[in-house]
Amino acid sequence: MADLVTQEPRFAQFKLVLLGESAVGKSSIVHRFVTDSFDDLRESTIGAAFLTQTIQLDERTTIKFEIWDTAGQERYKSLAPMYYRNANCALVAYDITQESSLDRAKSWIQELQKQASADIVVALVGNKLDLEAERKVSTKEAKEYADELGLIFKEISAKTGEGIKDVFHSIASKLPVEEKLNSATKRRRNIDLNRPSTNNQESCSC
Amino acid sequence: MSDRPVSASNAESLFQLYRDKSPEKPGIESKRKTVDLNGRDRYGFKISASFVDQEKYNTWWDQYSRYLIRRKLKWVKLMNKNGFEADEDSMPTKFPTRSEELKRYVRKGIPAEWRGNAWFYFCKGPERLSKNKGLYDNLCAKMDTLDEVNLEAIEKDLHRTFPDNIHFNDYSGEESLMIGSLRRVLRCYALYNPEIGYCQSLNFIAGQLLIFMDEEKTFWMLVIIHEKLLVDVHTMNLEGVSVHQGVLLLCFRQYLPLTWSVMREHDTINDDFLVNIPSLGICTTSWFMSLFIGILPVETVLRIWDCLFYEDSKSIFRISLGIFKLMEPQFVKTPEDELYHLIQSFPRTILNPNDLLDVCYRKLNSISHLKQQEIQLCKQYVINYRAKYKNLKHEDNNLLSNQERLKLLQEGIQEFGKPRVLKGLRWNSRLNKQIRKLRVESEHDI
Repeated sequence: MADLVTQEPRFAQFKLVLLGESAVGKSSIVHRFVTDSFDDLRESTIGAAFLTQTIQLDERTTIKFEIWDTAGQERYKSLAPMYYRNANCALVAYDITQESSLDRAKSWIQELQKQASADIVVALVGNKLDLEAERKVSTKEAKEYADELGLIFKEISAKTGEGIKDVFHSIASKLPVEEKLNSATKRRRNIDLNRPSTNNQESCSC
Repeated sequence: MSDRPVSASNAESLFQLYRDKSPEKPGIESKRKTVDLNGRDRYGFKISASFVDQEKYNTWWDQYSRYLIRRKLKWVKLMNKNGFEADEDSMPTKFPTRSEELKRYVRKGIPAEWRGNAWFYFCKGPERLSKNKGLYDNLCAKMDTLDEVNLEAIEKDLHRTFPDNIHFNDYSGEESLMIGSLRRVLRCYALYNPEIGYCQSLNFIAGQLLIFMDEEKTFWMLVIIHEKLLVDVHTMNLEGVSVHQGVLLLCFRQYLPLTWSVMREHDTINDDFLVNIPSLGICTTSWFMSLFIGILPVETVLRIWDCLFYEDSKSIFRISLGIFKLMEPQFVKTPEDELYHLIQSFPRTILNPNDLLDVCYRKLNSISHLKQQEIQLCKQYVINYRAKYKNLKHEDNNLLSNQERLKLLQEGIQEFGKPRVLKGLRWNSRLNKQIRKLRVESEHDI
């Protein structure tokens, strides 16, 4: 019996916030992940954009990411608490060809550690790996920093797609799926209780 | 002197629904043919980059372009009636004095080729320009002295501004004239208003203005927009963004009770919503910051801008309420985890501007009762509320003496009892309790 229960498919949803300096490729990363495409001509993000994508973590576990892709300019920081409130995970991006963007990423990570929920899963990613020739940030430097803080670390390229799936997978595997499932079941029950009333309204033709 | 090149904007040729001045009145069909539907709208935006597919767009445009021609003829008549010489091909720079009739005309849409002049005129741009002759050229001359941070931020965004618009990106590999204009306008504005400098989203506002007017006028429009419509929205701390979100939430409570109750039910909004803007605000933040660019289809944004520049900041709230009003039937039956998606995707489907403007301005609709004074009072209330709460929250705040703090608290409590313009304007119980508690503490201190 217990075995049967554990074999049931599992579905859990998590909020991910994407942070990092302007023009490091946050929107491109998320578009590569969500639509597996890359567009050289991407508009700068105003405020934040919302996207979702599901991945298969293992045979029976599906994870849905609710992704908040944010504007990168420094001053948007004052709105950031609104973005990372209740976030389960954060992807903090920098551009391997821009040294300053790693500093900015570090300051985001500091802020998350101070302000976001304590169990937030954080990944530091260096984007634009396709521009290896123009590299300014060494892998070693960024990796050491990430290791020290126990963060997921990957170098990726939104343009070629390299490493994108991996990083979301790594994040997913660190998320507290069981915990989320329990609370979600409760919530779904609540919703189910409310559902019949709206359905009745629609179907009732008397 | 500045080396400002010739303006990149040429409204006349850009959006003419009429090609030539025909001897006899051309039939609607022949007029419509002059619109280049070759994958782009008449402003140069790629239709495929907009939010609807080409076929749907064409069906709509077929109808809407007839409407535009009718409206243009009515505008010509209105101009003539008011003693202005105008015909279908003229480019008036002056417009009739404000009246109920003119307001109605504006709400039904200003002819695209007149927009630049009309927006500028209604915003009292000509006065600003004549009082400040040469100011823009002087700024242009020293624009390279702008600080590194702003220079870099502008440079990063130039090529990320309407890359799908032919005027911004002509695929020649060379920088377009429009990008040059945009650079100068943004740099000059950042120099002119250091409190704002450059803020992401200004690139889109300035960019869209540049499609309709020259860069000097665009510069003055930016100045006026920040005085009239977007006070403090683009400043360093973006406090105005939070204030506007607070006001919008209070408007929901007052004008869209059903939507409001769903928001509350879904727990997307907590009691302290004026201080800690709820996640819902993430979606609506950009509505204010970019004045709806990128949120709604191009033509709808332009029709909204007609109203915004003729009227005042209440229009931003009316439009926002209008979008939610149109969305309400879907909103109330959408599960919580899909709400953000809905709020982001629904506005993109409002292809016909009249659908939205009808909801915002139809007399019978409660949203049309939202007055400027109400917004102003509401805004002041939110500003005070946020300021007070912040002061009280930081207990280590040494800027205020205990007496001052107590006075502030008492004012807060007194204010609580007063009747307000918006019913929603009152201290919520949870915060009120906190304030009473703090008050007792500070009395103790003294």
